[in-house]
Amino acid sequence: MDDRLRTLRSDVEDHLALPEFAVVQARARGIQRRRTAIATAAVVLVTAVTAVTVARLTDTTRSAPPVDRPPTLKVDSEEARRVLRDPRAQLDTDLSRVDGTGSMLAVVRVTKPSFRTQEARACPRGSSVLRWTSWGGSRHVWLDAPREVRALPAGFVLGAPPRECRGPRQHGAYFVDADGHPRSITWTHGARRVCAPDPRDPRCRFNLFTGKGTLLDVDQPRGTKLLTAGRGGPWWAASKGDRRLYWSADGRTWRHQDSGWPDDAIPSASAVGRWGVLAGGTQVLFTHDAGATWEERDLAPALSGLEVADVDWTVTRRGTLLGVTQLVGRGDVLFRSTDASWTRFVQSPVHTSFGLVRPVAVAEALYVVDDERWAVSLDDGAHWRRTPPIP
Amino acid sequence: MVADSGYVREVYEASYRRLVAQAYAVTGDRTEAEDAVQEAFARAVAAGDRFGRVDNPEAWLRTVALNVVRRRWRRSRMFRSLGPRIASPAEVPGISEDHVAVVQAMRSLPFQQREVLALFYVADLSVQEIATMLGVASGTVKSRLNRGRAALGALVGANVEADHG
Repeated sequence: MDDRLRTLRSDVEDHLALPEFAVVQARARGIQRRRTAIATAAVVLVTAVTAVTVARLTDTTRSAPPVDRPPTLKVDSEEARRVLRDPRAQLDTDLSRVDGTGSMLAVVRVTKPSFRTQEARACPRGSSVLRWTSWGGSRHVWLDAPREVRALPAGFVLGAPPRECRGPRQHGAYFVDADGHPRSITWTHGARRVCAPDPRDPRCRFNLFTGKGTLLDVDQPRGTKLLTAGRGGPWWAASKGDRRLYWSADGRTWRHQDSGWPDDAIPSASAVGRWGVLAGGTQVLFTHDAGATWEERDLAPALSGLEVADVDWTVTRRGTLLGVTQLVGRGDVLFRSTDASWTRFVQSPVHTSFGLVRPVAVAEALYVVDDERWAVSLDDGAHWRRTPPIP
Repeated sequence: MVADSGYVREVYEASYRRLVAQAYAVTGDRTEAEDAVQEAFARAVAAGDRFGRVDNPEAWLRTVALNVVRRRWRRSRMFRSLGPRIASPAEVPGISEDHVAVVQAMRSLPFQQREVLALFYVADLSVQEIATMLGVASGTVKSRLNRGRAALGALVGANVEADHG
């Protein structure tokens, strides 16, 4: 057997023809062509990957729109209810809001004594909850970091928590819809940077139906504050002294109206929808057709029977005029026109524990912030209802 | 020493047949063996100067050719499992019937045993050289050699002498 194997080689060598070396050379050329092709493909691939990477880094408009998804929320969990039941729980009146349907999103925090820094004490983990309460009485509560809240006609936008308050997967903003359920926000170009940290910015527009957050392109007059951003009506802005109202159809070209009140009058400017009001005491200059016509009126006769000092005026989308006057020893008193012609005013039975009354209008709802139980009206102040207590 | 086609041609003329015989013992198919050896020489030409710096060009070519054979064997094993082999293996015309029988018997051995038998008996390498070339322990080579010889002996009906070392 061994011999047979050992003689195999010589037998094969003796009977094997030697092919032309050109055959080998041709194959070598094929190998070199393959290597060149592979090297070229590698260079092309590396170039393409580099180009795509650079394009992704530099072209922010090309990428898919950013989406903020709500954090994983344990709605109505026992932990959240426990925070709500804590005797130290307090309503954060700066962050809480009421939407246009009368639903309330209450930010409730338990402030525990701490020797740590102010920032650390601002957001202790597991000690703040959001409680959603509908006008009809439905409720949901969940643990979440304190956030800026923007009230919508039906629902809310919860901004991204401040950096020092972020927990795991709590870096984005999200919607709370009309049923109190969290939903994602898809941001259009450039909106996330501005609107996620502070959705209350008037330039930010939100649509719960499409789930989109948009940053409106506004070129407002210098030194003005934006009042409303063109939703279902013109854009409104007021001068810092509230003596001039600006309006615009596109957010770029503006017209304005001056009140012309004497310097000793305390001015106020209010605008929503097609209504705009410049006021100084009982004198008002107003438009109900988005600035097309203006009318001046002294409301003193309509206010007869009411005790009135300096008045801060607010107009609602339906044209009801609300006034707040501060009376010595009695705190703020709220009164309202009984109709859009402003020929008669009546006092509203709304008072707060700290005396200040500041009506806030959101779409069809009107609310007044109080220590804990806020006053909410869905008929421009004719009837009021208090939000539920905590817990 | 200049590593150009001329140098490779010299090695080719001197070693081609020897290398094909060794590869043939492994593959059991002349066409496959010649193809693997030609591929090894083509790579030598494509390697340019690097081939000129190789201490033992024939060993280099043998290793390349065996790698080619091994890769094709792995690839063909998958296709073989899908269906029967269509073409019968090509033999070297004119070699003795004894040798044809041995090669046919070797084809039925496991590849690793075939490889070791071919390198030991046909390429005249020592157990240590084979172990270095295959990257395995010399005991492994001896084991494969023993099993291979025993299996081959049974297949061709001959007694096997255990005299390797």
